[in-house]
Amino acid sequence: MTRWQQTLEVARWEFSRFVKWRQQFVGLALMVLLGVGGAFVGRMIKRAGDRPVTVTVVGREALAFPLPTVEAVSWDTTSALDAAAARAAVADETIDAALLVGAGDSLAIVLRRRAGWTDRAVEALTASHRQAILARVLTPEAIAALGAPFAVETSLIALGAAPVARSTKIAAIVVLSLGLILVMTGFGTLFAGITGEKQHRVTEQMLAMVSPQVWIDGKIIGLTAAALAGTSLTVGGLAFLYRGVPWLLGRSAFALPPIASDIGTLGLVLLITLLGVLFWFAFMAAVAATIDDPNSSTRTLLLFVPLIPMGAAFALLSKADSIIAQVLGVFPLTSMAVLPLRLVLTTVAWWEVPLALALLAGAAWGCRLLAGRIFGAAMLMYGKEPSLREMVRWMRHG
Amino acid sequence: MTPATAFLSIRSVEKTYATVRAVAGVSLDVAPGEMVALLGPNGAGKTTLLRMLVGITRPDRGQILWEGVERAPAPGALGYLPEDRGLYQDVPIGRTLSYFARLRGIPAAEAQRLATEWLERLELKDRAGEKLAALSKGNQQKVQFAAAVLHRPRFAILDEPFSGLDPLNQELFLDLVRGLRDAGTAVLFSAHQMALVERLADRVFVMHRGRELLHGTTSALVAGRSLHDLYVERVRAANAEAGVTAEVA
Repeated sequence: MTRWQQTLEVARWEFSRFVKWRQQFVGLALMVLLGVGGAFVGRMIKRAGDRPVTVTVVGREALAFPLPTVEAVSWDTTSALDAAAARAAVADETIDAALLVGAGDSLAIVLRRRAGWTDRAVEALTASHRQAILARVLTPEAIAALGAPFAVETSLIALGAAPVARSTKIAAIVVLSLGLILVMTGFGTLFAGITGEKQHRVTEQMLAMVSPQVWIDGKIIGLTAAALAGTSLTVGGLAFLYRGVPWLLGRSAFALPPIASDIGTLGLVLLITLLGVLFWFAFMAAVAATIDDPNSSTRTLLLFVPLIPMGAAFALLSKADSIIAQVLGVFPLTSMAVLPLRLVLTTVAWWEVPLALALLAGAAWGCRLLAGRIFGAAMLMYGKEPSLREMVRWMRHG
Repeated sequence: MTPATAFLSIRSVEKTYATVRAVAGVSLDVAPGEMVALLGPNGAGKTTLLRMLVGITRPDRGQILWEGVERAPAPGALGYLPEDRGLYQDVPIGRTLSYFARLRGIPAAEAQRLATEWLERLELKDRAGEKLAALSKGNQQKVQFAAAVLHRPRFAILDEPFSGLDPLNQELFLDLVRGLRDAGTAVLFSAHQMALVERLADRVFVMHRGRELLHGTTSALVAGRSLHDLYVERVRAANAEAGVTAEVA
């Protein structure tokens, strides 16, 4: 049996150990159910807030501007109540609320309890008041010109790209988040798997059959596939929610950014993410092998190291064109997070992608080899954790 | 026996951990189909020697030759029962056995058949779908034994196969190990149960403080007395006079 066949056998085993399709689909169904349920609850809350009210206007004749249209609010200008009677009627719940018009366009809204419509009403009344003042001193054309935005066209000749739309930024955040989910879920299974094998003393039996490098390679491949399967299901669930929830609510789905149909860019993003995952999983496998007791080891903090490049990428969301973003986009420790961001948000130089891919692939390969050396020695060490000096020695001499 | 005719030939092997010399120049040959017992007090270096044979650790000096060549045999040719027992706790035992067979190059269908066959032999067939954690310690040990040898290796290294077993299971394991030899497998095993060793081993190799203390065929060594008495006498003497070796042909 060749090393590669053994590696694939280990990968298959690791994949099937951690991917329980039934549980995965139950989880997915729960996610969709929660999403749909959440949408319905949101809609119900919105409807509850929009319960129509009738506001009795007292002193309408003193108001120097027209009553504006406010969602879910109707003005009753026919009432003969005075201010005191209106207050009493609100207190008795005979009427919903009252708008009292005082001298000099001063207004007061009277109601029993706080309500969501009052902010909208105040805003609309203010706008109507401003409009009335403007109408006294300006022509309708001047007023229209005042309200219109000043047209400034942005044209990027050098990059040949359109300005970044809000939906594109959201797409960048989604890409980053999925990368984060991929790494962190994979880390969880990798960590639990390796420390569990060490604690259950599976190591010697395994190392009598396969080399440490074959073992760690199989783990990395199998668990990367497992993490991809889990994340793909999450993406599938999100896609269903994206299509299904607006349909259920009787609304049209929001428009996807152009990146969603750009297969080339999506392919590059996937390739970079995959290489990054292989790199970080090799790193994590080596760390997990050195941990003697996962409940007390301080090395579990190293689980969070990949959050640093992810955090950097989130910080660069609004500075994707900066020099620092360009540097971090090709640097192997951060390229998995930053380059996809740049690919989605901006136009990258022709050399950036091949350079980043080459550096990341080289780093993943090197990390895998060093991790294999640490893994082989550390998995047989019980009762104590290897020191940094020991690990460096293993890395140098195997 | 020469390295050319021996299945396994260990030549002046040494291994030191920090300041402890675990194995200090041991030489031993094992012929095809032979059953050799590796004895010695705790800390004598038996497990270190067995681990070097399997390739888990490497000797600092000396040679380990397999059929005359200094290269580890293919995974399918070697079976190993480690002293540090352990299998996957959260996986059905049938699947674990089948996986280990596949790692040794056995096709999936044959691996499944062998796993079922061994579980039947160990009276665990009905529990193939259960996880290891659900089994008693004795049954776990049976599964561990099957995991080590179900692929019919040409050479089996068994580190204390009888430890922790009740007398009935000791007899069962004795039969299983004999069965290996009858099928042509050479066996090198370590043990502390001298009565069992006496019934099982063709040859005995006793280690003390990393060195050879006693080595010979079981019948020649025992010569009318019990192996237990001989062992205790020699080890006590060696303890009194550290570093003494004796060879009885």
